[in-house]
Amino acid sequence: MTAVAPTRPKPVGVIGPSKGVSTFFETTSSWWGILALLLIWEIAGQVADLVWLPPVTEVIATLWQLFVDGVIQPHLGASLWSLFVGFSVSLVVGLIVGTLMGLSTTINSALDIFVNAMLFTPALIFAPILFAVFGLSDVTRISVVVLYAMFIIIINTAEGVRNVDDPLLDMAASFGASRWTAVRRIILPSAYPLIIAGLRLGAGRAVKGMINGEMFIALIGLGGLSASYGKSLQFPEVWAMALFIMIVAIIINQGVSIIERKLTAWYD
Amino acid sequence: MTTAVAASRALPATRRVELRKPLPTWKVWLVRAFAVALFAIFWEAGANLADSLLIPTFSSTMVALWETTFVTGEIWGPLAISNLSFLLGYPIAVIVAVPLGLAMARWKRFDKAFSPIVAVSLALPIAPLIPVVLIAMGLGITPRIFIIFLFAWVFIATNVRAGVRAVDKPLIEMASSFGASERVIWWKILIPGATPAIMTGLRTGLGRAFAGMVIVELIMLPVGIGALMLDYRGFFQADLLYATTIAVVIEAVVLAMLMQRLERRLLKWK
Repeated sequence: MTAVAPTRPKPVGVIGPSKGVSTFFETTSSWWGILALLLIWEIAGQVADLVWLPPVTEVIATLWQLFVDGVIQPHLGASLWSLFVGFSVSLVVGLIVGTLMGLSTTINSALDIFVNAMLFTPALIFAPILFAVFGLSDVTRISVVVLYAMFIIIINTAEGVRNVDDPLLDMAASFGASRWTAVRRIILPSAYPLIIAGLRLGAGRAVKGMINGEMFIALIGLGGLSASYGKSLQFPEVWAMALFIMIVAIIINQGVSIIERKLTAWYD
Repeated sequence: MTTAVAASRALPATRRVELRKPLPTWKVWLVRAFAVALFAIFWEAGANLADSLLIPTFSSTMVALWETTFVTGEIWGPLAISNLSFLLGYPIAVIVAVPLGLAMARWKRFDKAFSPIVAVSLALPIAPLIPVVLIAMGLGITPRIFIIFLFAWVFIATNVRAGVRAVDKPLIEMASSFGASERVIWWKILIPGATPAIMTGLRTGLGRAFAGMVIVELIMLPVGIGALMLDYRGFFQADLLYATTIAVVIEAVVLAMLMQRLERRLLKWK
């Protein structure tokens, strides 16, 4: 037996390359460029003296003050909680539905129209309905996160399961593997990289859903806080919140890529 | 004989797990129709059971969809207002971002100059900054066009850049060593090679631009379809609210399908 397991090309996400905040560090060839941008912002803010463009030093000072006064912390907690719950729901439902769609052509043809339509549609369009039904409760915000994150997980999981190599399945059958064993031991491991890619894309979308949903309700969470600053035209606070949300998104994204690397290290 | 039987008993010839058992087309559509019918029945029954002012039945939503599109025509005006900014913002993003992506991929200096802006634009959330754009640009259609542009351009530029960079380097070197001009290299090698990635960028950008249109109208500047939906919600016209939502979903799907068709045609032509 000299046969070696065929090396598979590393699969990428189905829906385009995983463009997201992850590329922040990759495309920044040097920190000098970012520093130059900050400097231009500072000078423009000082010189132009526009109400909507406060200098970056003022923005950072405002952000610091928001922390010292304890304004941000409860909203950060609320945001992360809805993100956590929403992403967990998307994860469980997405993996189950995606696996079923990958395994069965009948289930796939029953659901593919719905899933694809939901993937194309900007999920925030459902926010008015969700708000009408669930009101100001957490369920509204969590549902928006789920609608943003779930469908890409379903699609990537189904795609991964569907694209398992035929020879692997033949081998499983010739060794007398039951259907369940084949799914558990052959299909899911071989679909694993695409599934992880789906989870990663889903995490990025979940963060967007969290912010946009909160901005729509404009009451709670980081998005809610920045929406209320925006409506009262407090621009240093608006910029400070945008900066802070960006930092939170980058941290979450880096965390996800570290987890992704750990989870896929044994593969290949 | 007996050994064969014994062997087959030791290894019961389980059927292979068939994943791609293809369904005949008529069966696929039958299953789809059945799924849609099931969805409608569940919705109808659930709404009747909930008996809430905010959850219309499937049938009343469909009636409302029919009325708002064909009887009163209420949806078309706001839909046109929303789409005007989208139909201006997206092409502007394409016109700016495709050449930018090409230039960044080909010339190092361009890449160095723009990569910080691209990096920041990929990471900076746009929705919280919408008030800044509104105050800077006023309340007309301009800020909405600009916001849609902001949503779309960076995804187009990064995909185009990645696509051109992925084109075989030796191929370019060979061509230029055979005396191919820059123009020939562009038209014969770079652009054909990068077309799939460029199309991915255009598709992603289209989705982002459409999302930008919806987001700006729902969270900060209620005009067009967003304003219509918020009005329906405010006046508890749930059937019309649901119908309008479905109409926007239909538009998103139609746009995605048009894009797919264009993509297939371009790749075939290539």
